[in-house]
Amino acid sequence: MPLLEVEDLRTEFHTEDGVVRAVDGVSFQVDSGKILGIVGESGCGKSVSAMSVMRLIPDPPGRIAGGRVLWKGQDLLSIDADEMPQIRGREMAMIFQDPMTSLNPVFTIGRQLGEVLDKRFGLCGEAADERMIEVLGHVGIADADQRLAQYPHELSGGMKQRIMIAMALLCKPDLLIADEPTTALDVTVQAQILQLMKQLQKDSGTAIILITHDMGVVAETCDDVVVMYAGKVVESCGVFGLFAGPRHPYTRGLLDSILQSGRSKDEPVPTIEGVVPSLLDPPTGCRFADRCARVETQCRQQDPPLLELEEGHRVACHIPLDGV
Amino acid sequence: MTEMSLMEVRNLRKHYPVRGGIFGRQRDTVKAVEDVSFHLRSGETLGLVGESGCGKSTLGRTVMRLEEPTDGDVLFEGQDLAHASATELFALRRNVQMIFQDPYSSLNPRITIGEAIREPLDIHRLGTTAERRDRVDELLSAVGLSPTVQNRYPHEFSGGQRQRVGVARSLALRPRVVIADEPVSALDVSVQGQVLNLLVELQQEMGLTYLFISHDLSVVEYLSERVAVMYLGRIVEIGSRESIYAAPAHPYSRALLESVPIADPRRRRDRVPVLGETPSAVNPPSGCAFHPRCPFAVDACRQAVPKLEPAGHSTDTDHMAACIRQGEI
Repeated sequence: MPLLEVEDLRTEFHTEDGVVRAVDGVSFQVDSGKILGIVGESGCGKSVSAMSVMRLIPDPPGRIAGGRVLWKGQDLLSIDADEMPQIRGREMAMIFQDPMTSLNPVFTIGRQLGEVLDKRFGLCGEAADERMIEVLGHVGIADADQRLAQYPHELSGGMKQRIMIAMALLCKPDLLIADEPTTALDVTVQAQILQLMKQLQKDSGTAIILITHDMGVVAETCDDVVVMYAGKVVESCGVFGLFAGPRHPYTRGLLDSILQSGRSKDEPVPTIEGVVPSLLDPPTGCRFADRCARVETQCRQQDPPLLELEEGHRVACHIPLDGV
Repeated sequence: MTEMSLMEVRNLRKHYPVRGGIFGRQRDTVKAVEDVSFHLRSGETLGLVGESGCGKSTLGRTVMRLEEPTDGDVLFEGQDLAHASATELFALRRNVQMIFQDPYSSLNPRITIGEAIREPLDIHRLGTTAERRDRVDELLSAVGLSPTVQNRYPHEFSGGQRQRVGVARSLALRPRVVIADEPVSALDVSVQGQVLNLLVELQQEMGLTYLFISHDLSVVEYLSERVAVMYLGRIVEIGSRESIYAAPAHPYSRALLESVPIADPRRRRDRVPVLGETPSAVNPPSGCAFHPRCPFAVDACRQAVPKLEPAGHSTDTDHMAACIRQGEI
């Protein structure tokens, strides 16, 4: 049984202009101890999917309109809202692009980390301090005892992201959802944080959902990948299979537009022409149809279902590429 | 002045006071740009890379004189922008224009995009009303937008389209040099490629010279003939794109290049990432500012600031690095 199984998830937002179906029938699964990458461009619904799994969608204006989120076999969408905080923080944890939004500015780092230990393990006093210093060491923070007395604003972005990962380490969650955790960081610090997340997976067996727009980050970190476009999953596959032989034209386009080293301006960058359709009034049929070079009549009439074309490789396309 | 160079920056410095206390007395100085020299050859792209806070944006703004330089010269065809009077500067600025990162905040939401593109022409009183109207049409077509959209407002456009408007506006005065500060960083990959292709096309058509500022090493590699790497206010290495990317001489350039994720899972490796983070520019480390993070640092690195010197192993005569151990490592 997968650790997490998301089935036909639908999340919508009610706006003045109408209903935005930000996540429209999304399915994916996360296996124990694996890193799943969810990749896509802004507005594709990758963050909203993750927030829905955690049941953190602000309601109103948001609403989870349908689907199931099976966590160890139990549907999180049907349990009482009061039970969610028990699961969040103990079994699942989340880190965000901007760690400032998740750290409370008025409390010291020590107090915020201590609260986790107290609530989760009933650990406080010296034993808690020792554990915190040990974990801060693991995430590469020197002078840990001094850091515990500092406030979030006294730390750099990379340092704050390390604190968030330390917090996740303290909880020992089964699943860590990381939403663009390195996007705001410098490339040298990004490399450190990604290494740290891989370490966390290896040492504690924590499964990770890594949400990112960066195919390089996916290639270096993830075991499995889900590619989203305009609120839907267009392709999902193991990381090697996806990079070796993408079968959805959008995935192909994304991979082609990466600026590989050695490329120069003598040749134009391959691009995906056109723009993402509005989710207020999405076109019938395949949402990528208007930008797709392979488009045929059928594509504009029927929404392509996500089908397993080879073992572990699912694609939502009427005319999929050959792969390899 | 080097032959053929269109623009030359000499020993440029930009320092900011750090004030504190109830009387707001100056306590310290941030040396955002410290003793930076480089030149731009006509028609080339010089990429300026570095991480946040290294001073690359301040350098761009100081070259444009959007920030008053603390010291140094900025020569455009021999005329000094850094010391020009207001009138001289007004005339010189026609030759040097800027594209900004954020296509959302760099356009005034209350004026149509046609007006935004025409504004520089109005300010510089170029051409008749009819000529200005034609020029706006021409610029919109040049950046791949239909001239019919000129009566629309910025909010009606996507990020990529707004950046096209930003590019059109920067080209209105037919500048020779364009300073582009992270122009594609806010854009999604599929759109980023479109804007990069546009910048290359325009460069070829109009013979533009770019100073391209970015934290993204892949984008800089793609666009540039030459590359300068900045760390804590100084250029630590400069050379041809091939030298910097294939044979970086400075340990910081190496660390930076090794940190870039490779979009190929078969080449995945367990990296030993460079330790720590960029220190504060208020109190930079002594000597070579990179020494606390550098695996090759020796005592001498803590003593004196290393000068840019020719990279010994390189066949590229323009390749310079500021590291006393560059020959040994």
